[in-house]
Amino acid sequence: MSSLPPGLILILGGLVLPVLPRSVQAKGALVLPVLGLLQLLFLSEGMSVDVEIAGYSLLPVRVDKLSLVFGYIFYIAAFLAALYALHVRDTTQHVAAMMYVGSAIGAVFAGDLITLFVYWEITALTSVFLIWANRSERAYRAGLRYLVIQIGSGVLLLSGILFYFHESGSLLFTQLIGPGESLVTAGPGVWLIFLAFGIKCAFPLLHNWLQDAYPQATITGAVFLSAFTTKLAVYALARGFPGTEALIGIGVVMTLFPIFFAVIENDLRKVLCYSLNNQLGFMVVGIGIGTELALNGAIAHAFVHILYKALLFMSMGAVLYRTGTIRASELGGLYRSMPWTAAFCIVGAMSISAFPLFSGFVAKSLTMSAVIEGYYVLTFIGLLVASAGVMEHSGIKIPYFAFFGRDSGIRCQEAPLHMCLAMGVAAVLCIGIGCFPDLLYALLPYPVDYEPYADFGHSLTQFQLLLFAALAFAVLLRMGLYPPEQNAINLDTDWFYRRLAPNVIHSITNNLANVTDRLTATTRLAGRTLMRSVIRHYGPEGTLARTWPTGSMVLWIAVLLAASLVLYFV
Amino acid sequence: MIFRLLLALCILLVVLELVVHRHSTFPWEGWLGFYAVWGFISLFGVVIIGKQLRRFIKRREDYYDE
Repeated sequence: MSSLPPGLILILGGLVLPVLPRSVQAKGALVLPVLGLLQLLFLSEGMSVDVEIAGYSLLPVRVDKLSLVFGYIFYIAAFLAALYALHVRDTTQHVAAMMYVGSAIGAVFAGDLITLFVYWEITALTSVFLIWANRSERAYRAGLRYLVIQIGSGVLLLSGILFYFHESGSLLFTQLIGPGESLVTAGPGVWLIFLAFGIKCAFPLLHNWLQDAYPQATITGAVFLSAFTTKLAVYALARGFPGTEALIGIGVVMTLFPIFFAVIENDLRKVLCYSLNNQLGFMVVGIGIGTELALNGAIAHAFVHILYKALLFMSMGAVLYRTGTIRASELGGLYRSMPWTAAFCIVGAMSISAFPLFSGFVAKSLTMSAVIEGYYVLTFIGLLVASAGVMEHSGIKIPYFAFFGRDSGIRCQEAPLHMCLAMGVAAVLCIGIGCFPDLLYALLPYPVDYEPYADFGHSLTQFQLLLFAALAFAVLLRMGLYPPEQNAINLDTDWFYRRLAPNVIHSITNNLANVTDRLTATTRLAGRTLMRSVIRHYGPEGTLARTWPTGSMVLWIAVLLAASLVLYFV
Repeated sequence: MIFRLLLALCILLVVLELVVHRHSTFPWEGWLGFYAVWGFISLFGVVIIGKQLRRFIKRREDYYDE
């Protein structure tokens, strides 16, 4: 059992699912993560499987603490999402979800870059079906854009690997930028790999596939999607680029810009995507600082983030499932109909906002301590603003506009039992980790010498930051300054490839067509003129086709003779 | 009602700071009420700037469908 590559159970299991009767498939999908997690418990640190293919030594499986912590949380998330999707009777979604999870787990246990690349591409190919399964024109188009970008990231990764292999002669996936080096001195291979990871991690300006595609996914598909793709990228960065200074700046920008978009976004699942982007920023900062404390912070953040983000996506999915809409402008007052969902959502919101005793706090505190330890003053200030931003969009906006605020008049049923169960377990985990952080700290790659609750002052300042932010929200509402939710969309960088690029290409093809038309017209005119003159000279009425009288011919011959006579004498 | 409760809670949190010893690394971070004021300003600023952003990037819902 331990020689089987982790994740393979889900990939193969996913392929077997279609054979089962449709009513059993969802239950099968629930069993697979349990089996996978059991297998993981048999694995021990330091284990690896190496093979040699065509003279290249590969390491398809490598087990260490970094892989294991991601493996555990991926399986937990897969189980919760599968439980949430228990009502789904769509073979495509179950198969895609299981193979997607399996390949993401395979990727975090991949010891060499080629294996990583293979799993990297399978996650892209399988996850797109969770978007297409919505079976709408919009979902189809968004899925296509998602696929192009994800596969593009894979292609960059592969070319980077080839360059890197050429430079270093190694295919091992380990730290790609050594201590004392930086991105500036790195070769093109490392750059390409960095870019590939950056796309999947939704770096600023490379981010918009996330907000474009995830809100178009199915209700349950979005829960799966929120957990794996971007966190696989976080894992890859933590493995390949710890301590890469550039990541600090990139991370801070990532925590900041999405919060402005989240304020004015109407689609609440899209708000969660901007929030996801912002959270990734915290992790990227941690990886960029690169100390043991900071890396622990980034990984702990990824762990708890998967849980509370899945919880928030589940609660918004339940709202969409019951009401048929996820527009903030059409929702409100749902706590009457869906009290349990509302309560679970609030737990997720408090976790992501990092209230003390909730999971976000015990993870984020590690990163913040590392930031303070390294005296990154501007980074610290930026992250404080971002924390208030998280409080705004995920802490308040999501629960407030869905469950409270203006009563939309919608009366519906509470979410189905299995959805409530999935949300409930996630909520318990969020609070459990928040109250007993040592459970989480024990899983982290480096020993943790940190007590989030040792200094009460720290909890106090966090409460101050968050509650005063909440107070600002309340004041804005009372003053009528809070922007009302509107049925509208907001442009982001997707405008460049959804509007600008097609327009440019359109105008170029239009112009080309014009040029061709003009060229054809000119050629035709020239041809016609030529033909006309040919006809004039050689046509039936032409000068050269005229029948001349014999007399004139004799005259001309006489002229010719005379001319030759003259020439002869000269 | 909820607003007053929140306000009272906020005031309590600042008062607590006088009693509780807290550790600070940067000097400005130790100022009384720094986190409270910074939290308030941050959210206020984010919302106001976000609102202005709408002027430039807001479009009709079917903008991309045409």
